[in-house]
Amino acid sequence: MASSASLPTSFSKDPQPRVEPPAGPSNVVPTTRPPLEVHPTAHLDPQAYIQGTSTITLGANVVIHPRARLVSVHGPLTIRAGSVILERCVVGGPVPDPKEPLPPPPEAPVNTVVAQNVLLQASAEVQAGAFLDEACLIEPRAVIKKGVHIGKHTKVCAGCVVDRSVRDWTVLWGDGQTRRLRTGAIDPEDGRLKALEIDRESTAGLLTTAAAKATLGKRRA
Amino acid sequence: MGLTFPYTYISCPCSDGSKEIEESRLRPAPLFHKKPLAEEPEEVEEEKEEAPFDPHHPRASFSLFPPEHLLYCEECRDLKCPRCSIEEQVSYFCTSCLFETPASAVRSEGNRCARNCFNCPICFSQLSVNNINGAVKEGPWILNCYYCMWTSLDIGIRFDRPTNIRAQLDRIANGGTPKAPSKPTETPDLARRSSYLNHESYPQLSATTNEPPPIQQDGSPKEAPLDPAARFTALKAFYKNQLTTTTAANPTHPSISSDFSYSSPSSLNRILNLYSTSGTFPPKKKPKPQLMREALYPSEGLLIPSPDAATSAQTKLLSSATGGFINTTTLSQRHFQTGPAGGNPDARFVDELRPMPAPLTTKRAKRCKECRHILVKPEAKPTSTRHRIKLVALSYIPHVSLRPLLGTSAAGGGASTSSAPSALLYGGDVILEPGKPTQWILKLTNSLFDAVRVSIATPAVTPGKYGHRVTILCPQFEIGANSDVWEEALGSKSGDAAGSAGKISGSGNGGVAEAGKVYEKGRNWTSVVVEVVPVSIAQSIVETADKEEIQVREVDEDEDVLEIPIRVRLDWKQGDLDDGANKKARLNEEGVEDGVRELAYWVVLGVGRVKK
Repeated sequence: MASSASLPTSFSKDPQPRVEPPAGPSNVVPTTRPPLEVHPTAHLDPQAYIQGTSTITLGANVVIHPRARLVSVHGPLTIRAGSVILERCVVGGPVPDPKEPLPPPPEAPVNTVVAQNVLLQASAEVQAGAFLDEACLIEPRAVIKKGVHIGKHTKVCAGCVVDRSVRDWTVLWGDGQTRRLRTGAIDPEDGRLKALEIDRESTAGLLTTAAAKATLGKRRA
Repeated sequence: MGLTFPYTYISCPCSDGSKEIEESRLRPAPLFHKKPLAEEPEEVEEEKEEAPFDPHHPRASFSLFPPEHLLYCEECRDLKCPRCSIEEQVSYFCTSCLFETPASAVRSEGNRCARNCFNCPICFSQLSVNNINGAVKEGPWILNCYYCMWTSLDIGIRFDRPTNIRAQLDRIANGGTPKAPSKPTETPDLARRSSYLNHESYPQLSATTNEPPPIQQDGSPKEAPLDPAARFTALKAFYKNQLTTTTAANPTHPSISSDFSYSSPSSLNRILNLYSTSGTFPPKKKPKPQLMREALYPSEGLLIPSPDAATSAQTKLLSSATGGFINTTTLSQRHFQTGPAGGNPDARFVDELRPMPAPLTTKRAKRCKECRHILVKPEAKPTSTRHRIKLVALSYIPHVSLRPLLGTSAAGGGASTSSAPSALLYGGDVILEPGKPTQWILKLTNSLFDAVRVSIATPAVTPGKYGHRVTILCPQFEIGANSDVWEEALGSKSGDAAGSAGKISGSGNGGVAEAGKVYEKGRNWTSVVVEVVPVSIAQSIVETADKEEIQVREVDEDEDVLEIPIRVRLDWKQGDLDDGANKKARLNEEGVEDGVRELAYWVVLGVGRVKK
């Protein structure tokens, strides 16, 4: 990929994301970079971590925040348009042990899909094989286990560990056993999605500018 | 104990109920001793011979408090624990809006916020008032939960104004239909009602009225049923009225609601009638006793469930659209609803739940139980964290701390002394080797502005099952006043020039553990050395009755904890105070106020655990 002197608007030009893993002792085996298909309007922050062997696909206007981890070790990872992955999230986990060499591509890869307008808040974990449907909201430190389907417009509250599928328009909170159905009719959900879109655009602009400044600073140094 | 070693507890003598304690304040005799009560403390003349405090006694934990929990009463000149102080409310406020509610209005509002603060009926978190259409000035407002995404639209309620939500909610039932407010503006008390109100067009609220409300053809009254809160109020008023009328009509009728004192007019009336009716001739015709009756009309609080109440609930439960088990309420959600505050405790489905107003909290003042003087009084303003009066014990008694003396003396054990500080460094448990003496530095820091003479004493062998040997190298010493730092600096300049920061040279022992001398001394602190020799904690071998099996009894929990009870006696002379607090001070034996204060109490130092 040729480096561009102009301000980068997408990730496919400079700068490149950091390769796994930064944590762990210094005798870690460096890993290969997985194939990326990034939409021009998506923002994959340079300080995000990607790791794996399968393809990672980012749709339009996707924002990946710094220190988020995208793992495609267990299979391909798809993040569709409008989704936001906040800091320290792990998508496609569990993260392989940094001391061990990267495992070979699995014989039966599992697809991990994050649909449109999904918000993954800080430190949420989505394991390989999960499917997060449209406009769902995963709060901090929630864990979505392998093979779980989170329905549309569903909210998984902070700290919940989800090991079975959840239907649409549901709120999963407390110890995970308590849930309620949202009416779905007149609902402040539209307002929330609008706010998410505005926030996503402004954050993407901020992160892009910050990444560009960091790159310029490195070049000067 | 789940605490980190070393720790300090102070024993409050209030738990000791013996008369000796109440009579002699300076010579408390704790109950925690093994000697029988026949040996009265009167035989003990000096404090040294009184029974020591046993920290391992089962009752000891009830009197031990951390120093931060204790208060000091200037009048009684004694420590006060949470049990010997009384609390009273200073102000009532809502934790959400921080708005203070006057004490007169608290009861009428049901101890809850009267404004816009509500809790979600589903997840009990705080609700916020939002406009449906976004940040605009017009349009309906709703209550919104940010956690479980519940809104008041789920129960069909919207509000016209963003303020005074509680009053608006009181007039709307679930579904948006208007309902009678649960707090009626008119009082149902008949005695205060005008006679014009007894007209048939007004709802009848008492049994003494002549005309009952019109009855429908099927026999049920025509009035609309009240909601739970209004029904509760109506039923309460009805029963109160019934008790009043039956008691007044029949003086001999035992009334539950009447007070048991002799000062109320009804009870006086009853007693006089008893004496007056027995001796008259011809005997007065006794009035026919009026029996109490139950509520007959919905306005009195009667609720007749509709015939299809049960089946309708089942139908709703089984229908997938509005019912289903997912839409039923949980026990905790039903317990959260309280009737008087506008809730619906009988709600079966989530669409019958109502948002609950936020409960108020209080700011409390503490008073001494004996002399009723105020010990702690916060400012009434909810947002203020200051106190008007704050007599905490730590402002009077020295702060006690314990740390190991790193092995420089020959008597200090090698491995134990070095392992103890390393364990403390890493937050681990302090393990002491049995039989190996260890030395600890006991530091007392003075908070008073006057110098304090301290006498500390501890039994040579700790009371309890395992008698560890404890020796205090310097039992009597003085601690300097908590004076200004600049005074010490100026004083050291005018005096010796060799004074280092924080230490007065020449007045300590320079860091050497020697009997009869303090270890180190500072501006307002003094430290002495305590030597501890633990004994071994042995697992006792218990033989069963038939002596065939020999079981090893495990050491009970916390039996291996080494705790030292220390009797601390403080003497200080209180300096002149500008606010004239000494005016009410008690006089000494000669009747002359000399400002001498003394205080004695037991301190328990937790040192560590003994290795088994």
